[in-house]
Amino acid sequence: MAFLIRMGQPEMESLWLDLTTRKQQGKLDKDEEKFFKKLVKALGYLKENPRHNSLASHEIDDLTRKYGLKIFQSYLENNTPAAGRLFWAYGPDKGDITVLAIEPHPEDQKRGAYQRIKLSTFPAAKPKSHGKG
Amino acid sequence: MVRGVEKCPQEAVLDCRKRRNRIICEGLNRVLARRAGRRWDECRQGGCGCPGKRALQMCSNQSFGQSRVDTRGNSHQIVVMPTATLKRSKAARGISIVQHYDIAADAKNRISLRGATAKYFHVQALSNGSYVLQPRVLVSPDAIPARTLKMLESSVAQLKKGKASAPIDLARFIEG
Repeated sequence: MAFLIRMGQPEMESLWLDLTTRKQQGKLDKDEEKFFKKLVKALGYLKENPRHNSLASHEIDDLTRKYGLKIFQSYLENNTPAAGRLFWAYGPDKGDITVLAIEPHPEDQKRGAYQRIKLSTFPAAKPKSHGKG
Repeated sequence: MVRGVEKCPQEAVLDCRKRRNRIICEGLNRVLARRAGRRWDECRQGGCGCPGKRALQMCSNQSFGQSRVDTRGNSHQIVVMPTATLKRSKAARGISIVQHYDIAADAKNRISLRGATAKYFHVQALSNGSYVLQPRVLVSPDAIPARTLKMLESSVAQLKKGKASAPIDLARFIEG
């Protein structure tokens, strides 16, 4: 059974429209062209079989709990540590899949992970215990 | 030579110091008078033996150059005048020294931290040769960036209302 792929509103829809329009006009740059190719391929797999091996789809429990809706994550690439990710959910109708968000380039150690380093908090100071006698 | 010229600025400085001294003394006198339960105006006019009055007389007899400096270990700072020290922040007050040791850098100018509680540190090298280390933590690579999360949130909100785009046509883009 093939699914109908829809895009989430408004950001995903506008992103998809932008990419497709520029693709048709031949205005995508080299990186965007690469990304678009991967995205189309992944969406093709998603349409045919959301559990396709290449997608490595899995549910993200934290997001499911947060939004009260089963949210899945699939990868745009294989055998790549910094693979782009696709977040999707079933719906709104039966046989539909809605792509909720795309993360084109997760930031790994090479891509600014150290810039995202956050200051950790100091552990709370223990009150000094005075010895008995 | 230029003696005449040198004298003038000195006088100006002395005048300035006298003025400042008078202001300081007046502040002190006001407080002393208040402590003695007297009104400042009464003390100033004379006729009472409160400490404010005595201090005023002492002050009027003294010139700036004769002001006493305590060399016996007691502070010569005037109590009533606020000092220019900064109050320590609450965060700084909670920090205490737990380890105290001297260490030598090895052949490659490296030093080891004993019992370090963090894996990553932000290092600040100061101009006086000091180093400040602040513990840091790495954000999990699995964490979703804020931008993507925002996109996800708006999409989920619309999806819950039953709103999504029209089905997309991939056939145009899938290569043969």
